[in-house]
Amino acid sequence: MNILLIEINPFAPTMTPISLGYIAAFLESKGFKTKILIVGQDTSLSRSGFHELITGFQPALVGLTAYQRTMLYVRGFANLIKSMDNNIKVAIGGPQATFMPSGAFKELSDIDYICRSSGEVTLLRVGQAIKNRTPFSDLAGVSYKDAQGVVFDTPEIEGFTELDHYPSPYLNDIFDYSCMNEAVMLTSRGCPYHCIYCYTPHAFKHKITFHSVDRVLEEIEWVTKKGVKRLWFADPNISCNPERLIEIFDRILTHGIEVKMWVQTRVDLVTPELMKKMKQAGVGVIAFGLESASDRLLTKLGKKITTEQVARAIRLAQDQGIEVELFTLFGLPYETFEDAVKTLEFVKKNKVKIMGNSNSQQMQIYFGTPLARHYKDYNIRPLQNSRPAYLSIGSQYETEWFGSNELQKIQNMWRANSLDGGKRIVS
Amino acid sequence: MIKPAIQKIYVALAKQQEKADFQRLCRLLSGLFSYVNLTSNLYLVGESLPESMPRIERIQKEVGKFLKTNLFARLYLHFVHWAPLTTAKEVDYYLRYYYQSLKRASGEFDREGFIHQEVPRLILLPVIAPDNPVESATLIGLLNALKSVFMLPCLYLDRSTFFLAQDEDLLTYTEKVYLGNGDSRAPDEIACNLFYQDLLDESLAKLASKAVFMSAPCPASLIISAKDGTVYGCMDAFRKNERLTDIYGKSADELMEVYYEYDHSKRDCRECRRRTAEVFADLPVSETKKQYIGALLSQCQDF
Repeated sequence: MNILLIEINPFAPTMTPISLGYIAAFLESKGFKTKILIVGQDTSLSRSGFHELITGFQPALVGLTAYQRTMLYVRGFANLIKSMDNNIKVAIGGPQATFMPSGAFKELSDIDYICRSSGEVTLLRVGQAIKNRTPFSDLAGVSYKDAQGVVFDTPEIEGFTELDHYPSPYLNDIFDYSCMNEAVMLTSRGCPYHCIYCYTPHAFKHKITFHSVDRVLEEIEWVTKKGVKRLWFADPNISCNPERLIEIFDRILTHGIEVKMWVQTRVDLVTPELMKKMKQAGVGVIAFGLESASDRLLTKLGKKITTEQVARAIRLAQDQGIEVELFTLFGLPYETFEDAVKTLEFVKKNKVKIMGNSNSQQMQIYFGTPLARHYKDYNIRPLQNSRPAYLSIGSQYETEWFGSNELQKIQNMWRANSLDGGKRIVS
Repeated sequence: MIKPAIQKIYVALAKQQEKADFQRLCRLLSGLFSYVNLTSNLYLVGESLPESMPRIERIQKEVGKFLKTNLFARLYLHFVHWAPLTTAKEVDYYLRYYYQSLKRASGEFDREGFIHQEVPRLILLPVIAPDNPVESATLIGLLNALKSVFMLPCLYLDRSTFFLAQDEDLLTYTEKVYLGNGDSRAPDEIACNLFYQDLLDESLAKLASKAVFMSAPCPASLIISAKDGTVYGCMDAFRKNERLTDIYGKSADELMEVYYEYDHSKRDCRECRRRTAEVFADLPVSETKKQYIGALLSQCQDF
């Protein structure tokens, strides 16, 4: 049985869809044939071309990654698939799907499954059910709509706690290296922290799971042999276990692997020793989450860091010649316009270039976060109360302290200080 | 291997066209949308807006129909026209009777974009070729008004209006400035210049990304001359009048079959890119762009 996995982001250049890669490798190991389609800004694909793909590959199941900003396109593809062959089952997964209310099925007429648990194991069960011609039996980790349109929620399903149990998308040649400029690596999943605006800790129940150092090194050696010169680590906090990270870097150095790396972590998880090792191993850029330069706000956000720690981490990186990127947000709960200006000033004062990921953006309120669940408690006022059930509040809100005009004003201030027009790469 | 999608369609509208022929063109375009990229560009090049307006409106309607049933698609609709914009009264007239009317027709996509917190899937880009004499302040007023209703205004300047390319104030209100080599206002000629500028921009982007591209064909495009219904597979073919087919008696599917059989490798793409760079080196582009064009030309020689 064939399964097509689609990642859509028409607003950004194509990147390695690492999560779909894992799902594909896992499904292949269980006997399914998979194909990944990445639809990015630079993809050449027409309706007719997509038709050709579906006719040629004949998938029984199509899985689409859903993000808040791509829901319209996800619906579009689902509709196109169903118009070509109504027997093809369509599933959505990813950040927007995990906590999407089941009521959204009403407006998602072409979607059969909303995947909520770990992608690999969830989609395997869906695939097996379809293969057995009982598409709605023995499912877990999904909500589904049966042939009569009745919606059911199934129990959660746990993914593996040992990440090495998932086959590697790289070692199994899931991706085409000929057009890969940089490889996205995922050496750990989840986040143990409690930031109220972030989806990840809640989706992973505040747990973090790791790949072994051996596996990470095997993948790095493999992709660099294939000609990849840059690695982009998607781990939310790469140095959550600093000893493990030092071991990875040590082995990169011992094996003589020459590669440039981008990593992200928390400011309280770096030390001078680690930073020195990062530089030696080839880390060119490190990104930290600052969010706000107001200590009062950092406490309220559950961030558990101080601006002093941020400044210190920046200096540690800059002293080693590692470029720093700072993730910042505006429109935060309890944030005043003056607080927001302070954040911009902090970034400038600490000599972080305002470009790429250091361009600030308005906070987005995603499904599943404490902010989305208790927005009224945070004095957040959604601007639209009639949005489709598959969309969360996103950026359409005001706070008690921050109106639409102020949001626009601070955005313009960031843009005016930006070296590249103000578009952030990672959202 | 999936066949490549058409990235851009350039339609040089005819001043006078039989109703039946225009309907044929609309049907063809509507069929071609299935072959265009998920994000694509359609250029409608007319003469004066009052003359072209009914045809632009009709084609915009076809675009709207396609986008409405195909939620995965996005389209940039550039409508190119010249306009006498000397007085505030003229500007007001254009704004009220033409631009706002076109904008209203795309209102549902603006609403859809707002609900989904994203840019609309149909973006209107008026490309104004101002008549000389022209008052820069008057033009700024129009561009500003267009921006305020989320239309992204562009300018097409030719030898008679090149002086506007030096007007920093004006440029801040302009999404993109196209430059015409010569002073012809014929839609075919303007379409050709737009194409070459797009090709130059593509070459410069590839040069910046250090890609090997000098002999690579231009992004997949179709050029349609409504005057005689001829269809061309690239601008070099258009220049040399080497037609691919015509709009008569052919469906979009049949046309695309011919297009995919058309052998781009027989065309001298490197020469086309080189000539384009050479032409623009003599036009009033910014100093930085001139330097990039110089680098591009030197790459052409090294190749």
